[in-house]
Amino acid sequence: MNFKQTLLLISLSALFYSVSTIAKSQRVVSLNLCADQLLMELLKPSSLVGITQLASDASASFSYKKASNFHQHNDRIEEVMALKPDLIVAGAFTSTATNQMLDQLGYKVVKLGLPKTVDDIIQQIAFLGEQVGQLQRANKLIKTMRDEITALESGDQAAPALRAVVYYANGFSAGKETIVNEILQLAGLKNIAAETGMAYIAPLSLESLLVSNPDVLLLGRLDANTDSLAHQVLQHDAIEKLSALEHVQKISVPDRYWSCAGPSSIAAASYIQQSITH
Amino acid sequence: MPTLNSLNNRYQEKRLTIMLIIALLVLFVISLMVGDVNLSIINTLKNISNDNSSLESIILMDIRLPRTLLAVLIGASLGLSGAALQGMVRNPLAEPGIIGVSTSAALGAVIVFYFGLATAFPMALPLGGIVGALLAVIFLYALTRHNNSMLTLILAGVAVSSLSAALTALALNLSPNPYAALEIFFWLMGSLADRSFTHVWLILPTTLIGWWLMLSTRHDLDVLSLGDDTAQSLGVQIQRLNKRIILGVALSVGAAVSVSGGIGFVGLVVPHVLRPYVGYQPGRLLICSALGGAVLLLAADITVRLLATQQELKIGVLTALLGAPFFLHLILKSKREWAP
Repeated sequence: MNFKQTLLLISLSALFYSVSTIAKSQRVVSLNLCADQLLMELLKPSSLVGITQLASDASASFSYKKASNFHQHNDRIEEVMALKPDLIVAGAFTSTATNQMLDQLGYKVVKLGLPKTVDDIIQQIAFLGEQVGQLQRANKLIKTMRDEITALESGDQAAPALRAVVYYANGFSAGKETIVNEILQLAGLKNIAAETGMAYIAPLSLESLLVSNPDVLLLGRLDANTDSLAHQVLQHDAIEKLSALEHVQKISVPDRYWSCAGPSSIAAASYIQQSITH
Repeated sequence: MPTLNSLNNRYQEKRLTIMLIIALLVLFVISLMVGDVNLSIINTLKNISNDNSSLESIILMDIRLPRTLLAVLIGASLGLSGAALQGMVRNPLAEPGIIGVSTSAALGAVIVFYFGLATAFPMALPLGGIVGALLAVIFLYALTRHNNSMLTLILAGVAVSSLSAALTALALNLSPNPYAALEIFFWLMGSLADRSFTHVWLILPTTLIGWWLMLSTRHDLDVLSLGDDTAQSLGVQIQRLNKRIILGVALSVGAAVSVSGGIGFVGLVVPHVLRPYVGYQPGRLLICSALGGAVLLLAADITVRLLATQQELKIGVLTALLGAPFFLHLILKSKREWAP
């Protein structure tokens, strides 16, 4: 068999495979909040037969309203099996024990990584669209995102970039290799944490925050009526005084905008852009 | 009629107190100098006295000063409570952490904090800690009143500690806040990171009342070391003394734990080290132990700030590394008492 024949055989079998997956209505179960949000855009409740409990939590999930149309499983492997999935979508960081068990049981599992840029997000959506046989919907979603980005970029040409720092629960900030960095750039802001050499999500001490000389302070916020120590640091006296002394704009960004990379990231950038007063 | 020996003790005690105060002042200044940002204290203080607000003055006055004050307040509460409890039950192993008072205070604070009570009414936070601590002290007191063996005290402490720790974990898991479950570390190990003046004002009143209650028993405690009957014949009202110490420990440790989490072993190590310098008299040990506790906790807090870990080490990790071997040493030393 020569090279051409081999290539033909491979592409034919690939074609046959994709036709067979599209033809059969797949039952998809998601084990990951971020996968939930993407899959809800791509699939109807009849094919996306299970999403996580977190998906309907307004504080963590961007598409929390949509989630009520879908069945939410309890994350236990028995219930996932009972849903008779053809395809399971998990996060790359879903507990390894669960992933191993699903592999052993012979399920087809797709693991989603963490996108760091808009290009990564678009790739991920295209990949997922292919896997669940909804390429058209995926392309439509990608186009909407691209249009929104164009609209965002036309908004901020005039003013010089403001310096911003993100401060989350537990005093964490986000550096260069994160989707948050990309969101800030989309919103027309300079990420101070990236400038200081922070690569990923890492703690930033309150003292370093004060001397980082920001114009805008983006505080993570949780819409819940309970307190946690993690969020207490965001209400520290020192932050209030910094804001008063240096005229730093404080913008609270609900956690659901940050929690995943996806269409919510573009929404986050536009939320931030609209909240800034120049 | 003071003997030569007790005169010598009194001189030693005075010298010890002065040395502890000097150490505390030195550490206080060092604590204000240690942080992620280098700043000149003298220039900053000049700025503050000229009413010039600056970033440096915010760092000094709103981040480092409250943290330092809390270390002093909480360290003193723990040292004093350890010494008072040991005097009351006449057992060198009585310590808020070991006998489970800290953990049950944490349980009280957790219930108040994560279910929204503290947002509605800030004083609820220390009160929650105090109620938790009070329940544990009363329980342990009732248990050891007729059976003052080391074994009973420690085993009861283990039971109270594990029960409260389990209930704390349960409460955190039931909390509507997704971050809550991860915060059990803080409540069981303790930390002073990013605390503010809000917390200082919250615990100051009850802490001071607790100190006063415990210190008011110091003469009676000395007499009590001669035995219940002798003390009673010398006019000591034992019931009143016990009530004061129980309430004092609950007020100061309960308040402390509600803002710093449970920090262990300070109340064990400090009184034990200082006891020989005050002639083994439990009453005279109180003030020295309070000072010693403040010195130890402040030193520990400075150390966790200097250690180059990505996230700050919990302060209780350090005190446990220091205190647990100590605890073991104390048990081995007194193993004669374990025999029936």
